[in-house]
Amino acid sequence: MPFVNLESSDGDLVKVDVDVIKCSVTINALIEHLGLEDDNEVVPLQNVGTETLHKVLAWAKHHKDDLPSVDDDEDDPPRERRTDITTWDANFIKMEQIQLFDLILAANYLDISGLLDLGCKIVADMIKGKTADEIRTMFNIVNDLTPQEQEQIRKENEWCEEK
Amino acid sequence: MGKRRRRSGGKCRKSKRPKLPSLNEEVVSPYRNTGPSTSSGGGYYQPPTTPFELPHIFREILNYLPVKDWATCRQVCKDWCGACSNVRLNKKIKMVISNGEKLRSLVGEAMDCAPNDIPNIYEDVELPIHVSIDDIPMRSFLTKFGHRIKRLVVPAGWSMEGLQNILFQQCVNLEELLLKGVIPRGRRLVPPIEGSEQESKTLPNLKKIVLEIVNAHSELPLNVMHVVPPGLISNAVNPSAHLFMIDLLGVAPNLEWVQCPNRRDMKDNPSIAATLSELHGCRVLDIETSFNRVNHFLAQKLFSGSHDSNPKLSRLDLYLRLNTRGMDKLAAKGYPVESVDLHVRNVDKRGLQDLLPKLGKTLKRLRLTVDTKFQFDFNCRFLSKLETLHLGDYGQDLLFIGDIPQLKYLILDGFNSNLFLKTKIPIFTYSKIESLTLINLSWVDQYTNVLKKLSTSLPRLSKLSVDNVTDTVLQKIYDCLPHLKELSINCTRVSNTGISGFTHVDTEKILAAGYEMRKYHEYEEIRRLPFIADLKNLRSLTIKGQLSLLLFRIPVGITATTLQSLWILHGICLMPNLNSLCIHDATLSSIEVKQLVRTMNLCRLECVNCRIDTATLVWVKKKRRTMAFDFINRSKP
Repeated sequence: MPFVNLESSDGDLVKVDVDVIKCSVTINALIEHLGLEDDNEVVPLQNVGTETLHKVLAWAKHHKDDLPSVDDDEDDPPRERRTDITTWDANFIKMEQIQLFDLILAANYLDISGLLDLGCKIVADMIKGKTADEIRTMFNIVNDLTPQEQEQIRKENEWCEEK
Repeated sequence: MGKRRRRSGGKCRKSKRPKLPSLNEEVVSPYRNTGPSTSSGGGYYQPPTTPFELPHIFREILNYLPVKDWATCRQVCKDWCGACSNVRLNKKIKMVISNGEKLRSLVGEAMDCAPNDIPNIYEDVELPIHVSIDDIPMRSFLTKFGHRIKRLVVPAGWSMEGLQNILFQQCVNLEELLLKGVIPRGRRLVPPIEGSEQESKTLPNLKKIVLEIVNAHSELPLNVMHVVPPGLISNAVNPSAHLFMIDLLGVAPNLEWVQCPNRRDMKDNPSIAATLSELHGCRVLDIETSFNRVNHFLAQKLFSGSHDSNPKLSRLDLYLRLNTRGMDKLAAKGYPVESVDLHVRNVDKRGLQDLLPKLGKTLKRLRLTVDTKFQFDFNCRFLSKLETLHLGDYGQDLLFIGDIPQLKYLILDGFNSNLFLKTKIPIFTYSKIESLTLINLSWVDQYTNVLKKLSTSLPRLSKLSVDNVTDTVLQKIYDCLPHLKELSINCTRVSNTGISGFTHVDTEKILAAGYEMRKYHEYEEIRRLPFIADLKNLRSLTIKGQLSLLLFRIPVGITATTLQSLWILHGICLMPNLNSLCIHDATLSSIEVKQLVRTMNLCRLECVNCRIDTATLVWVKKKRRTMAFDFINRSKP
């Protein structure tokens, strides 16, 4: 079975089954374009730390047998986006905020849509039900809106009522 | 997991996600100011540290949020507000413009305006009734935002001509139109729109038209009465609304859903039928019409003809008085209809006998209004999928019900509907009937053994809804049907004692003794009383003071003796499994509501016309956050 060596930004080498990492569009494209002559080929990933890389690989391993995304029938009525998360994923994603962010960024960098979706859902869940102040504290964001702007947004929001 | 669902329509994010040009090439974020990476300076690129710095990921996150949380995100900081603007939310935003002031503020540059840069907004708009279509703010509103509207609710009193103009010129992307009634201005004739090119006059996206004729007495707020033309207010109908709708049918080729109420003015208008029969893609046709000639024509057009019209039609709610021929035609077509509402009078049985087997394979819901003398004496086994049967005015025996294998819900409506019980009660020990609605049970007084029989006839009965009962009958229900899970009483002649089982004297005694409500069952003198708490399995209870249904479409003016909550409460508090309670038209004081909430473990409480003050409302909401609490106070005219 072909393998590929990934090098994390910390300089660690991780040997990965190509079958596992095929969910990454980025690496898949690379393998296709360059071809892998020998197992000692090293792919440097400058934006992914060792810890995060292991996390990504754990996820990829668990999901390696998932079916590829299929286009739904055109006839189907537009459905609400699925927001359910499997138990395995829920346990997997239990981590510190900073690790979660790193994981999302890595998923983006490696272009792994399933993992990216999962991360986004989790962040959305973190935001749900919070006040603006709580969100700012949670993500360490400085409020740069003037009182006038805030009032304006508040008034605008009055128009938005969920159907 | 891992399956990536394709997003519908233009919402596909995947395609918009920037592809990485090659490995290790940096992704430059336009959101440099967001989050901790603001400090990046000196020309050095700092890789993003939060997902909020990558716009496509931020969008993805916001996409998962409900509108409320999305609105909160706009208040976080400038960047977040900006990011929120470009997000097409999955949830729809409804916009109700309640008055002219609001409309003006939307058009003008005033501060109090909607966030215009959000794609979802202005898609679902309800326009105010006070503002005429020809007013400048309305015109400019529609010019400015008309093309964004997908669902439009048009108030009563707009002229057809004006509406046509906005439909063809401004609201060209409309998908759903709800008309509350339109009026003609001058002639009925459809006027050509100035500079009109014939081909542009279609509404290709329009999928659903609903016509609602307001009954001004009940539905319109008093302060707008003067705006609405008197013709609309009367119960008589204004024909132009229908005619207008018919005109629309002709220009909306992709219509899937047509719904309009019964109006006599549709008479002699074969164009309705002709147009309707052309709607090939129509899934739902919900038309109530009672005029014989039109119906016959409609039936002919719909159910005959050379073309195989409406292959998709699944729910056919035709309120028709079909004559034999119309019924023949309907039968001949064999549509896969799931729901039929037939108003059949003076019809010979053979027609129905022919029709029902043809519909039997798919029919799930049947409402039949028949002649009192009409009798089902033929086998109904072919209605193999039928779950709901609503019989109006049926006065003969009900033996045939035993033939319908899947029947779960039985509704008997009309003054004579109970005659069958007097004569003969069939025993269906294998019956699956779970829910029974009986209107006008007044006669049961003399035939109390009927209820006993009913309990053996319908072993699975768990839901009972009765109208017009008396105290005695109610007591009998407690007695004979102790396993009920849901009970709805439209207690037109029921007194406080009837509901709770406590007489005035009893209550006085209990109050004097100072028993604690939740310990009632421990007291011998209370246990002796026959009362509502005998229904040990009851989970849901509805008590209405007024008759809810209109018999023969004429409001029946029977009102209940005012229910005193005290007695009701004392009875209800003893029901161990009750978790849903709905009380209409009772005098319920704040203290009593509080007591109710404290004592019972309710999941749902609905109080309609019970005069509860705001403080209590707030108290209840605080006390029981998880409880669904509906409180409606319809002010009576």
